[in-house]
Amino acid sequence: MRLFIHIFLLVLIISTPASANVFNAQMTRLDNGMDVVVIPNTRAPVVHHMVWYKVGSAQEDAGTSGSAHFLEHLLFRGTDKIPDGEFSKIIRGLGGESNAFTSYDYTGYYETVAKEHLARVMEMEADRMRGLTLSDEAVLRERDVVLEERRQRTDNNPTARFFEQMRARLFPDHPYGIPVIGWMDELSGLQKDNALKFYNHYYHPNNAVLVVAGDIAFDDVVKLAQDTYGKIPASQTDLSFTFPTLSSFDDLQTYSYSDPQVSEPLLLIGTRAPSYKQDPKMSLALQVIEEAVSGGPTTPLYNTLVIEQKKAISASLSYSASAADTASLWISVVPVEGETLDALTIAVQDFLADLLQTSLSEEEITNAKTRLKREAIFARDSLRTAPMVIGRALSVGETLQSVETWPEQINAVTQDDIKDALVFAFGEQARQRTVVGQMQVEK
Amino acid sequence: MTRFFLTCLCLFTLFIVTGCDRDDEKILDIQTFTTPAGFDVWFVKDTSVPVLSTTFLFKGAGAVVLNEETQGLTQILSNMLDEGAGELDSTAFQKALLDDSIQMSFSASRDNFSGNLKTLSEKKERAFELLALALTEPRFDAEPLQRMINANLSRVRGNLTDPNWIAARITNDKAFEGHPYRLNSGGTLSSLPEITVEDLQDFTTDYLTQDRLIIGVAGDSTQKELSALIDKTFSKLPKAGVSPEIANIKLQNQGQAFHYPLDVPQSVVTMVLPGITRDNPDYYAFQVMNQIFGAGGFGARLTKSIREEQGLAYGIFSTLSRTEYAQILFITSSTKNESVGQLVESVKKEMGKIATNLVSADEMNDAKNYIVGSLPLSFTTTDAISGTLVALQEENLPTDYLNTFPDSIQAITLEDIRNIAAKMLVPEQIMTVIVGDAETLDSPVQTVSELENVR
Repeated sequence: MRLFIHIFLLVLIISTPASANVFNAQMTRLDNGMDVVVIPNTRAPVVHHMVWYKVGSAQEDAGTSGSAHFLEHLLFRGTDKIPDGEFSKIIRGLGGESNAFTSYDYTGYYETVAKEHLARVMEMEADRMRGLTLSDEAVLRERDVVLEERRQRTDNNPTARFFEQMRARLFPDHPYGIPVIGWMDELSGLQKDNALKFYNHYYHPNNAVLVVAGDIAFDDVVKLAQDTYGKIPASQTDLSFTFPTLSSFDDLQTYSYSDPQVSEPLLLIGTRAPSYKQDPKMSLALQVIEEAVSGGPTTPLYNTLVIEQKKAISASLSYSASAADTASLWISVVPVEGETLDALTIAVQDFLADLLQTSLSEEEITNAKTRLKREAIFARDSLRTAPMVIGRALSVGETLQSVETWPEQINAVTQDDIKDALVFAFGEQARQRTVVGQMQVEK
Repeated sequence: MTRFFLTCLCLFTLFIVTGCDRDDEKILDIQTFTTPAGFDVWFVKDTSVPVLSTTFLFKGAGAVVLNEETQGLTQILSNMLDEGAGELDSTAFQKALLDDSIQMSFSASRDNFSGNLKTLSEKKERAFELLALALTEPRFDAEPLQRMINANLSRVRGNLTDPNWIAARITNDKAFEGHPYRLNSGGTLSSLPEITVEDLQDFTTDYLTQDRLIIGVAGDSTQKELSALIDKTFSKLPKAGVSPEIANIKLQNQGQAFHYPLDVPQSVVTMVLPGITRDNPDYYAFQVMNQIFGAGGFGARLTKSIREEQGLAYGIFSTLSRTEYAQILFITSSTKNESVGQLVESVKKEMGKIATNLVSADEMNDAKNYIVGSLPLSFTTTDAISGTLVALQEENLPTDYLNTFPDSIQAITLEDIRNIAAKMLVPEQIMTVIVGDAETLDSPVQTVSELENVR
């Protein structure tokens, strides 16, 4: 039993699982450029339907943080065909669930319904790809809702505020350093035009991916897609986007956070690392390292800091490979009572120096790979996992092939790849990409 | 505490969302069988993925049997059962689980003690062998015990300024004043360090017993295989244990409002009303009414009024909590401090509307369609299926319940909905808990300055 801190799940969603072909998905592209992926799953007479737009908070204009997410909310506020407030109600009336989410690189909308309702859902989702009509009143009310969402997720929660500040420091002058939900002062000034500008530029079939999982044939989905999304013309505008270059720090950055609401200390170390898209080889090695070092209470990080040294209550390392630009790796440790964060920081640094020195044993690497490959099997035990993993991969610029062959790629990681990745993540040079953050209880 | 509160709710949620829109097709093909040793097992076979999920529950072995001094014991037990058993110490046991990717977890609610074993089907022999060890030969060594106590103390300290956790804590304290349900099933800063190996051993012997056991399995196996695995795993448990007398409790402090001042920008608001039991003839009418009123968020009246029309909150939910000795209906939301009064009044207004005027036929039909139609949505993972099999048995429901349920829902009329709303949504009965920096509250409130069952 170990108690992990799940703050990362706010932005990152589990590491990507995948065998020879993990999910057996099929894919095609409509004439207007929209990608269509179908994942067979016959367990229940249900389909999970998702539309992913390859745009997220990273594409927001300066000073308008929160607009991508704000727009996501507004997509439920009406089109010519479906009045404000009716979208969710109609899905409910079909016995279905619907919701949406926004991240740095993508925005996703989904509905889970009995398979006979798939056509209706596709019609509705296609309608709001281009058909949004917003009243000023609805926009202002929805902005109030998003402000409450920010208060609930972040402003009422010291750990979330700390994490937000850590990201801002790890990714300075880069969109990944700006919270997806937006900074309060910018969010509260967002107007209908901010959202509509974003909508009109980015919400087009050639910037979207349709993913359907369930008890339904590929050809049937493609036909339905042609009749709905296929009718929408592609945008002729250039939708490409370039990320600003991240510069190195002069040296290790440190950050100390405190406020009256902090009631338990936390050490959080963030390091920038390549995403799978940027450097598949190193990313795969980092995935193996994550599992080998922090896969459970008997792997070295927890075992050393919590069990042997008794300096920490919990300790975990997480790396999320999926990003259009640079990814990040986080170590999070809660000290035992009486242990200072400074002393704990040194203990973690010693641990990492040791890891760098001795690397991982052949056995540790093999075991970690075996466990990761099994994750790909467990991933199939859920209707929603495959569309999530595949939709995200395609949205950030990876390929379906990269997901389907993930276990083989993990298997191919070598001892040398591991060493290179350890040097990159924890070597001397890594100091220039790392922020050490301490959240302290106020004296 | 929130976490444990939510655990209870999850099991119950399975029942709100129940039904089937295909008369000729079974929602779940449930097999039932009794093992040679006499265990009744409910099983859904699914070989589409080579995994197996087993959920088991010891009915009545929950935190409700604990007292002020021992609160938190079941929480620690749920942390400790996989921390070493038989010849395997904590590290060896955890390594055995990790090496074969076996996920073993235990959890303690107020009413029950339960667990889940998830494994690749090729590892099921080993998985059940380790589960048998955990349940029948737990070591409770001093090192992991201290570690788990420390982790829980850290969790409690971290929660001390969390408005949601505080609101749940006060809600339990006040709603169930005088009853064991008021206690903190996660343990307190003073009770947790006092938990001993003997406490854990005694509880295991007294409560993790065969007569309380309920088993549900989903995935890639056969009745024959499971019979052998289950008998080997659970036969060594004591046949029967102790059953303390516990009284039912009605919602306490009705009509009262409590405020815990906390310097945060948004207040957490909880409004509690007396609930309803499953065997009440109005139970299905309640489900349809609550679906329209506020269950599930989107599409419900509370969400429409409070979120969509007034922009007061990100979410608002009205949820029935049915535990063994109490039933409460609670409405939860959070809003900026200056809007608390408006939110509370708006909820009362919606209560009045649905209790006075008939809802429209469309609204009723949408609600019924959702309750009935959304059932299969949750049966897409083996964990959800095995969990449902246990929940059905815990409620003493028949295997065809999921198929007969839709008729009970469809039979509800517009008048039934108004009548049950008038009976249950009574503003004078609301117990309100507000945590935050709310400035002006219309009705008188009692300030709570010290949390009970925390320190």
